[in-house]
Amino acid sequence: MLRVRDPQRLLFAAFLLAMGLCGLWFGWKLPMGTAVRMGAGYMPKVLSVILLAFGVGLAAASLAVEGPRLERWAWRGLAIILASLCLFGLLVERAGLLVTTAVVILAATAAAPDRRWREAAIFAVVMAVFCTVVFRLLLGLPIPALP
Amino acid sequence: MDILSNLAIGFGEALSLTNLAFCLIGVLVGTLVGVLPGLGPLATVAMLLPITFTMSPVTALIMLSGIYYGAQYGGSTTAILVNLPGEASSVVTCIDGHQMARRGRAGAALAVAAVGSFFAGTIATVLIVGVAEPMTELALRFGPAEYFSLMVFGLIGAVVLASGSVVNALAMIVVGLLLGMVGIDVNSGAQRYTFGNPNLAEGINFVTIALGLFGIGDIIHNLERGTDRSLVTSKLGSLWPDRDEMRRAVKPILRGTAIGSVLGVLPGGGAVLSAFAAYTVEKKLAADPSRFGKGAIEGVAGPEAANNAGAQTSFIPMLTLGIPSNALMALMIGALVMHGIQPGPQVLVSQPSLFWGLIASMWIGNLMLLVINLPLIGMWVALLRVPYRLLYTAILVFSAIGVYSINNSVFDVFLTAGFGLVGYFFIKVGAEPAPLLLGFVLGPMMEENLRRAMRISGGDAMTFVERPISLGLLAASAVLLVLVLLPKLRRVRTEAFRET
Repeated sequence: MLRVRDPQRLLFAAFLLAMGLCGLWFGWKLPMGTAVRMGAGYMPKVLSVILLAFGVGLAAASLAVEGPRLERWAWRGLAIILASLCLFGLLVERAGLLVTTAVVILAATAAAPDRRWREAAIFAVVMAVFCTVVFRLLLGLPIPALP
Repeated sequence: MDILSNLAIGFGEALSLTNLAFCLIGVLVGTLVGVLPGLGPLATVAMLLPITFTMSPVTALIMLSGIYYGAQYGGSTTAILVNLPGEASSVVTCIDGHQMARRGRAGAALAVAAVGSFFAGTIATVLIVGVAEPMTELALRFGPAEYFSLMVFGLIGAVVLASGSVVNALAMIVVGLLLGMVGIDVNSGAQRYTFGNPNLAEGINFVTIALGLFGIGDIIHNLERGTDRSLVTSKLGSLWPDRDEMRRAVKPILRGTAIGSVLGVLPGGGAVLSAFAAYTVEKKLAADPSRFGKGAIEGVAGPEAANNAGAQTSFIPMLTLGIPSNALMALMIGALVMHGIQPGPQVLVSQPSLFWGLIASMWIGNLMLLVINLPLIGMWVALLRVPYRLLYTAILVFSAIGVYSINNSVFDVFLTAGFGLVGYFFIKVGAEPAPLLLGFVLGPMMEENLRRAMRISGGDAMTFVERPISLGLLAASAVLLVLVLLPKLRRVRTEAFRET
């Protein structure tokens, strides 16, 4: 019976296979060219094939060699952090830097196991002012400060 | 005489008021991120890179490099006082540094670390000045075939000399190379992997990759792991080492400087490897190795000198050849490109004031660090009390602002979130993402040189082995690969990184 001995390695191999397949699939129409005049598709396809080879090799190795077990994923923290980042992207051009910073700080605080909302609220205000002053006023980054 | 006039140019540039100010800001920020565990120089440089656009290229580079070597100073503070590596290269400093602190010699350990770092930084700066021109002259004679082979050697070396699985790292390089292909192909104008999205036409913005993989991924991981930063030591003791400690520290500092200077230049080298190597050497040479782990000052002096020397000499291949020896140098290359400077040997010729100004600023920065660090130690320790629950929200916002402001692109913010997910995935499957960044930065250059070399040779791949320098570099890469895959050497390599 085949048994997965190194699940971490198998997952990484799956990632490589996916990357290689995507590379080939989406790069299929790019011209290969010749060795003298390499086309736009030459390197991408060669690299994709190498990735597939790595993927197959590592997948095989994951069945043969014992490795560490998979840890659990912290889905909650992952979701909150990534969502906060996207929230910044969604808000910044509409609400301006001042509001966006405060909102994102509060949103991201939800990910902390030891969160304290009152402290976070104060920090959000301080950071909002700080970021607006430093990035908008002092450094002059072209980000709108207010809606 | 040449060197003197070059240094005159350099100091002239570095001593301007703006550059001095940003050098100071750089080393202060560097010390700060070095002190704070959970935030490394890599993520910080990526985060602050966008705000350097308003500066001149030389000012930008002076500040960004200050962050890197400043972090080497700061990292030792946390290592000694809290027994946590504030920065990866301070891992070994924890071992003996913290034991010294427990015996009430924290002040002495900090002082030796700072003085050792300063000495190493000075020597390394002199070294850069000495080798820069010969290296550049050699590199200027390189054709595309030599360049391609040099990059292969750089990438392979980076993998072999770093910790972790070699096969994983090689695969990571290829992932990076493939990601580097995204965008419009410069030769044919064909769109590659852009999915018709204009945001991808100029390729993936490398700050999104660096911040996603190293900044965001780490935040998520730190949150689940929890960061314990209870200050174990609050008493510093005397800031001056006694005579016996001084005597013991001299030779390790000299050796550490030598080790760091050499290892920093090698691909894959830099601060981390140098510190590990120096600790191993000091332990081997010690008359009584059992003192190590119980507060031997040699175990602080050697690695601290080495990590700073290594941090600085790793600029040599970046500045003279345009080849990054570690992930941070890859960021520096990206910074040069973003400022419209093509990295490579021509930088020295076409931008002498940038080149020498940066080098001169390193020495000035080291001097600032020495002066700033010891008297301000109380302030850094106070900063350690900032809880992570506040710190990470601030990092997140700074990252978002930084990424957004590069192109005023909301797309880049989403892309960073995507790479954050990938970064967390890499942590979970135990794959180190640094080689990906190297591959990503070198990818387009490698493709270009490969194409040129093949066109010159008329499509004959033998050109890479017929030209002696190219052959030598490829042979060296092959030897490195074979060596690291041999079981015996593999064990030595694993041990070298498991000194802790």
